[in-house]
Amino acid sequence: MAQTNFHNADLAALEQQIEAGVPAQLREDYQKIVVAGMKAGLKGGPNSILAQLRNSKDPLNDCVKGAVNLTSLLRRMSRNTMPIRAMIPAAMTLMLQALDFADRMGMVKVGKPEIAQATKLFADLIFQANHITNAQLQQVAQKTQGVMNNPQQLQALRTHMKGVQ
Amino acid sequence: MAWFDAGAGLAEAGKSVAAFAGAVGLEHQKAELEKERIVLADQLAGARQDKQNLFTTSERLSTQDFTAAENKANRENVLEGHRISAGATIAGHQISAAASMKAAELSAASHKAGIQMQIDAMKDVRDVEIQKGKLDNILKQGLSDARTELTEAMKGGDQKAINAAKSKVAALEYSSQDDVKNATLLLNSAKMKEQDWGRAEAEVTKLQADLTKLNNNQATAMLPEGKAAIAKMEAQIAMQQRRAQQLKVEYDTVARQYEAAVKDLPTFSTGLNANVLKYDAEGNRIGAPTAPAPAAGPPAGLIGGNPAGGPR
Repeated sequence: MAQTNFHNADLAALEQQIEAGVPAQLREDYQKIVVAGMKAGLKGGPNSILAQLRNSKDPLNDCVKGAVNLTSLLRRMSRNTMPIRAMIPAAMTLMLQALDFADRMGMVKVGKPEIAQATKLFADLIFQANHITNAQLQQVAQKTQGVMNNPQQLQALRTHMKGVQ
Repeated sequence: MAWFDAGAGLAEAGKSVAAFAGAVGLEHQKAELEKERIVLADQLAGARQDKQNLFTTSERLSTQDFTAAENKANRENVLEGHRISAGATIAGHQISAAASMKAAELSAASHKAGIQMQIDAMKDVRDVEIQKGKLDNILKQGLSDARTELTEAMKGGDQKAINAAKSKVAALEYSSQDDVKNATLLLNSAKMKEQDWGRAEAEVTKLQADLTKLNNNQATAMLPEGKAAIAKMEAQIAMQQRRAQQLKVEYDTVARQYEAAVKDLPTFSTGLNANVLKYDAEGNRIGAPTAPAPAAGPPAGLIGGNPAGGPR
């Protein structure tokens, strides 16, 4: 377990949950994305992207948007070689970093309601950034339900997941 | 083959070490970046707090400045209000004083004119009375002279002279009564005109007194109404003065008529025998049917006593 430097305990706990959920084969990519994102966000010090939050009228919303947009930018810079499965938890971690920054700066008091609101907004923006519509989500849900109801397909999926991990 | 296998295992081990080193390096970088983020957040928070403090201080100073400026403005406004109020009061007093002075001047001028007119009227009346007295004296003297002449004629026994003297006495008595009556009527008319004028003048004086009272009592408090009332009063005064002037003109006309009558009287009396009354050879009057015809002998009423100690 990596040592955390979060100011907000709720955000620190959430980051640990995210990192714990990242598969081992994606962990390096996840760390690369987070480090690259933090470097990009902190570049320029007082004039950095992160520091611009001090002028924000809605810090919670801007933290989420900033993390998602920054991750999308990094993915485009990697010529879309960045794996989506590592990108999403990395974007979430970057969002938590931005929220902790705003909380430490005293711009917003982040608690569980704010985290829930930010997470919902994060999901919406991630889907929007990756051009995933509600129809596609329903289609995936139906497909998943079909797999779950088919024992042969379910077994094949379990075998595949074991192979990946 | 074993060497090959050993080399392959060594390569895998090298990869694992490299992956571990990369993971540790990323963790370290992430930790360092987090520290950097915290420092930046604290720095910005401090700057933000300083800015907030500066803003609060500035706001407090601005508020103090604003309050001080507002207090100053309020004081200036109060002073300005006092100045305006004082100015208005002074202006009101000045207007009131000006109105009072104007009223006083008007009253004085009108009073002076009234007194002068009164003096003139009294003088005219006195002159008329003097003229009337003169007329009476002239008539009395003429009548006395005529009676003396009649007495002398009767003493002389000349019937023609007696008749002439009788005619003269009768004419003088008649014309004296008539002229005196006319003169008295004119005098009375003049006095009535004078009374009318006096009443008009008294009304003017009363209006001026009301105006002065109005100016003194209500000009400041009821300036607009007072001004309107002053204008109304002045209009009434002007109207009454015109009326008084008209009455004075009428009075002057009557007085002139009286003066003319009195002025013509001696000539009329002197030329009475020659021009107006004529008698025939028997002593009867010619051309005076309304005049009382002289009776035979001297009428006692005409002689009026015992002139020159003659026989009755």
